[in-house]
Amino acid sequence: MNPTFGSLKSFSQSIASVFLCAVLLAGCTANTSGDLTESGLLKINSVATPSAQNYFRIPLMTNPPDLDPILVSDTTSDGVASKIFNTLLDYDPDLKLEPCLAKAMPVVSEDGRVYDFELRDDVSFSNGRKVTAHDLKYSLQRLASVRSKRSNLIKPIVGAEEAITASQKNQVISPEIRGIEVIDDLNLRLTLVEPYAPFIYNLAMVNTAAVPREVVDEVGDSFSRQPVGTGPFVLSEWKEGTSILLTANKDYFEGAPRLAGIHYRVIPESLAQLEEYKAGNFDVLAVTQGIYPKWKKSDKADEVKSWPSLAVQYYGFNLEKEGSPYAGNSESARKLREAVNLSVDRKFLGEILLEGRFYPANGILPPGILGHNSERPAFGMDRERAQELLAEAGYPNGEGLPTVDLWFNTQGDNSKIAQVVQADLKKVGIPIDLKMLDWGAFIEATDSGEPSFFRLGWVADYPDAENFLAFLFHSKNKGSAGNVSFFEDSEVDRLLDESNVIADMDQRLALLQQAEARIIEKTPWLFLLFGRETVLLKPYVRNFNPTGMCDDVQGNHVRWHLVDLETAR
Amino acid sequence: MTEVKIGKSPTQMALKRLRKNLLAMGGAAIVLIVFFLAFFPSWVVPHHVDGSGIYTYAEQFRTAEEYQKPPGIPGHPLGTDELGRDVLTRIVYGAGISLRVGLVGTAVALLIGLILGSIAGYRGGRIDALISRLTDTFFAFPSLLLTIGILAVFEKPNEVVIFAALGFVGWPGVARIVRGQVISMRGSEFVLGAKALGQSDFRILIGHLLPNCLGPVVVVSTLMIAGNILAEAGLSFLGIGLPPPIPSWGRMLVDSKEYWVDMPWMGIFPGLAIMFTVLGFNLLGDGLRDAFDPKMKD
Amino acid sequence: MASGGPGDGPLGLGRGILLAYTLRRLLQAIPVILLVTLIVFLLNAAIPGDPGRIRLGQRADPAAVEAYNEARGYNDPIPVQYFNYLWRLFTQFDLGESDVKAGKSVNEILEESFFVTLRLALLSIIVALIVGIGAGILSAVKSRTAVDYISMLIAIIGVSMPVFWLGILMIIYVAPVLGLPRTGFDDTNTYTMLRSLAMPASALGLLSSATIARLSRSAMLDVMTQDYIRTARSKGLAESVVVLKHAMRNAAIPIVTVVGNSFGYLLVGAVLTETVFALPGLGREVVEAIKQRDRELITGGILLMSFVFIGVNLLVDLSYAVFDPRIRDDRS
Repeated sequence: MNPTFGSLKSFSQSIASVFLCAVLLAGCTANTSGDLTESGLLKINSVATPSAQNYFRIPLMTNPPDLDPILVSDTTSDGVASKIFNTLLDYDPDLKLEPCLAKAMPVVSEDGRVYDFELRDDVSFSNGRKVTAHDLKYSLQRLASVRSKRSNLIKPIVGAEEAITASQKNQVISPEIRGIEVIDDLNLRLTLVEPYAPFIYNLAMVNTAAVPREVVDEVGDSFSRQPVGTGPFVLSEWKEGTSILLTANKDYFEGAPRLAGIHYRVIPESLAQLEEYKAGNFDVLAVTQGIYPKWKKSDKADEVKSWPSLAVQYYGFNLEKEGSPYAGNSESARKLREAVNLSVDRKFLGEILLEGRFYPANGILPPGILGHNSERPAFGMDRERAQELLAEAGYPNGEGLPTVDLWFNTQGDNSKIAQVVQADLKKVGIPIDLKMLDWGAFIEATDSGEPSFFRLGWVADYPDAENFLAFLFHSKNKGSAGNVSFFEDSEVDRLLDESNVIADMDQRLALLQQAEARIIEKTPWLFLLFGRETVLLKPYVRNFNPTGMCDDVQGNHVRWHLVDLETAR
Repeated sequence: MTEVKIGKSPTQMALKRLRKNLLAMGGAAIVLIVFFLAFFPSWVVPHHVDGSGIYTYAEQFRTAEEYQKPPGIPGHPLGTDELGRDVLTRIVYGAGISLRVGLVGTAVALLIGLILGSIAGYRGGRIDALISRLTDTFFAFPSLLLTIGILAVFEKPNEVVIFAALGFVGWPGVARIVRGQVISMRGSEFVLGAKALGQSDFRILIGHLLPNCLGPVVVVSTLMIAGNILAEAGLSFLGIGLPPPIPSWGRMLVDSKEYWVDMPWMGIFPGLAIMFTVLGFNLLGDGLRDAFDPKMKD
Repeated sequence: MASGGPGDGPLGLGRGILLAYTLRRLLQAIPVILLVTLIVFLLNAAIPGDPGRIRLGQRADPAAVEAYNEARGYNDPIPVQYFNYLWRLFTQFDLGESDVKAGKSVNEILEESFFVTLRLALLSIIVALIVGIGAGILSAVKSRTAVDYISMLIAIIGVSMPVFWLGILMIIYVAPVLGLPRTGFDDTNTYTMLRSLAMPASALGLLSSATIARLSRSAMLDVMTQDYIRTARSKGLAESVVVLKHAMRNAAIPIVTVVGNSFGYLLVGAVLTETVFALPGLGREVVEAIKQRDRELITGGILLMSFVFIGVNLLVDLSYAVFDPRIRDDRS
């Protein structure tokens, strides 16, 4: 009785079989991990064809929220914005400050309060107008406005505090600040309330970049979406959440870029990014799990590039958390914290779990930061001593020790590290539970002091020890200003304050190292890891020379106008 | 003279139909297996699962590859995961999590849905209109987003809160079905008779109307369990949900996905576990639906 | 179909009755819409997070944060905020401004992302219809044989898979073979758009195909045993044509219902698919908004989705009523 549905049946059957074949075939071909070259290296299929339009193609995990310099507060926005704007100073490949928009390093007065800058006379915004000292004054003052996220950068300047307070009521875009003076079109004078040696680093942060007043006046808040600067590239097209296209600024004052442009694509899945890199659709890739060891042993090993990262990974204790056995100044609490430090196997974390991209820290300041102490040995593991300390603190074998929650955010390797640390501590008898939140909720909770034990990292805003120690440990910065361990020690405060007013670098660093040593003695953290930034870079890329201030794929402070793609020209 | 069929109740007839349905029986078998794994995990796998499983392997090796084992080596029939833990053990213990998600969530939806649906259907009029509008409203929300939204209100939700939030979005479906059933039965002789006898509405509802909703409610519950399990996996994928090292299958997928290109077993097995479990409940639910549905003819 | 009295149109319906039904349904939708706005608003207000801190950053001055919250009306009592929101929504159709994306209006953001999700949903439904109807017909024709069971099984397997698992597997194994873009949405032209949506639409379509498959199957089975088929066959008409035509007409109504309902589920399933395949769609936008506590974007996004869902359901109900007069007379 069944009618013949020959055509329909065989149609659907053939569709099914084609699909099955495709999947099987894919399964067979995708697993190339068995293929070896003659020398015994793993063969990886990674296409090396630069873009036909001479664009440098970069993958992003997220869409940058803002490109207005005064709003930039995350690494993605920083990376993109720093290709569109310039600041007074910049970093050279050795991480020393050098002049950028300024003609030379500033002349600093005897008492350390006055900075005189002479500007270059050959810099123009991409709309054609020449840059003058008035523009710098306007741009720096914008940091005091109510929308600015980085008003702290200009706080040391005379009149800034008042301007910041006043602007919360009056909505002025660029409030007047007495301490920023235009001497003439090419000369700018900054006067500080009191000497503050690290101030000069602020002028290399993209937040202090020069912006053209007439454009800001014209487009208002949309300046973040239509930025105009002096940089090697200009924003041509921005498809929110999908892609950003920067094209070269032929009139860039350091020389026209060799690239035609930079093309960003937002792909939130690291696996997908890797596939695209292998397909030849990206020129650089941030290395995540699973990539590094495999590629190092493959025929594409020279595509792996790494450099020391100016960052530290740690688990902090909230020292003021009521009810936490790890809080407070008592000796027993400190012993507990030290026991935690001695129980964790950092070598396993760094070398094996994280595939060699990280290594045990030896303090708060990583190598590359001025003030890093290379002589102190790395933190190690000693489970027997840890158990002794536990007993001394009153919890032999962890008996009676209340379970504490470790809080972390859902990014990258955090979950893996947390699980391993939990297992490590369990071996000694210390019980912790894991709590996972996404970044927004997490940062709010830590700022307000909710968790007693939390995971964080600190990336250098500038390569000076003060950036780490002051923000993280000065008592005046407790809470959302950066000191989320709520650490307080008057001696440390004194050392930090003193170091700010001394001009002599060696003396400063000596004080800062003393401060670091003292902080370590108090054990406010579970000190974990320092790391190396690692990327994959196509072999035809030239002059992409990242430094420690470079956040993986973004290439901050790389000389982008020199970056080139070697094609068969 | 018409033939009178003596004997079986509707439920018994339904079960008979169900037994004949091969696919549904297959589904039932899968569900039973999952229940078994959930209640008696230690009968299947020797080691208990907890975070310390990591180190039994990793301590002795110098590279990650050495402890991320493929299936087939002794002691690890399904291989080990990204931290060196046995995949089979985690999957077995994960069964309990999945069942809890399914059951707790569905229970929440049932509770709310039964109450609201029966009241709406029985009372009619204004109350019905009010509850129906409420039902329509919640129906209009995309369920996963509503769950995420609810969870966002709680800064650090624990297991119960997560499951309840998942289940909460399911009550409109239950309510609609119950309401429909109650409406179609409220004019029946039995109800009118009971009312005449003076029985309270409450007794009528509990004693007669609700039990007769059993069929459709069981169907929708079964399918809802399946949906909740998938939803929990989805939540884990988005980064919300049960924290590690709890071996929820969704979590296993998320934590290992960076390794899938080279070590596919880490993703294939938990994914298959979810798929088969959900499949089981779906087949069973479909079978139940067909069994209870008088319009089905073969 | 019941034949009515005078005033019947060609479909045998009284135009007046249909209009009345439409109006009644529309009126019923209004309190639903209002309730939706209320619930979303309350939920949003309950989500912890200081909009000022979110906008201005963690290190912002407390006074600046206060000023921002004041200016945006976040310090007003909730009923006042709600009222203002509704007023602005219904008089100006303005959904507000994003806290997180400087200067972008919610309308703008939603519009861009909505059309991406819309295209994805439409393509998915097409896939679902093709796979579902195909599997359903196949099963009915070969009913009670192995093919029947396998076909239904495949459809149900599709529903049982976690969509992001399928998605990632497709990215790893299918994309390289078929030469498709791994992720991302490329709308340079129709061809690239279709290529970038091919995998996500297949993954999503598979999800919805099971119900369609079942409906097609039972509709086909119903029809295949009808008397008038035998009559038509005896007249010598090509069997396939006859059966298909009648079956599809029979199945049309429930399939339309399912498609309408699926639209809602596609909006949900789309969230995960959009995240895996990096499509800048509505679902992903709203999830990110919730994670980042972007108030007005959350409210606007969920409202948009709900309105679309209600609207589609309304249309489905209406079309149902056009074909089946009994529905119109039933009280809601």
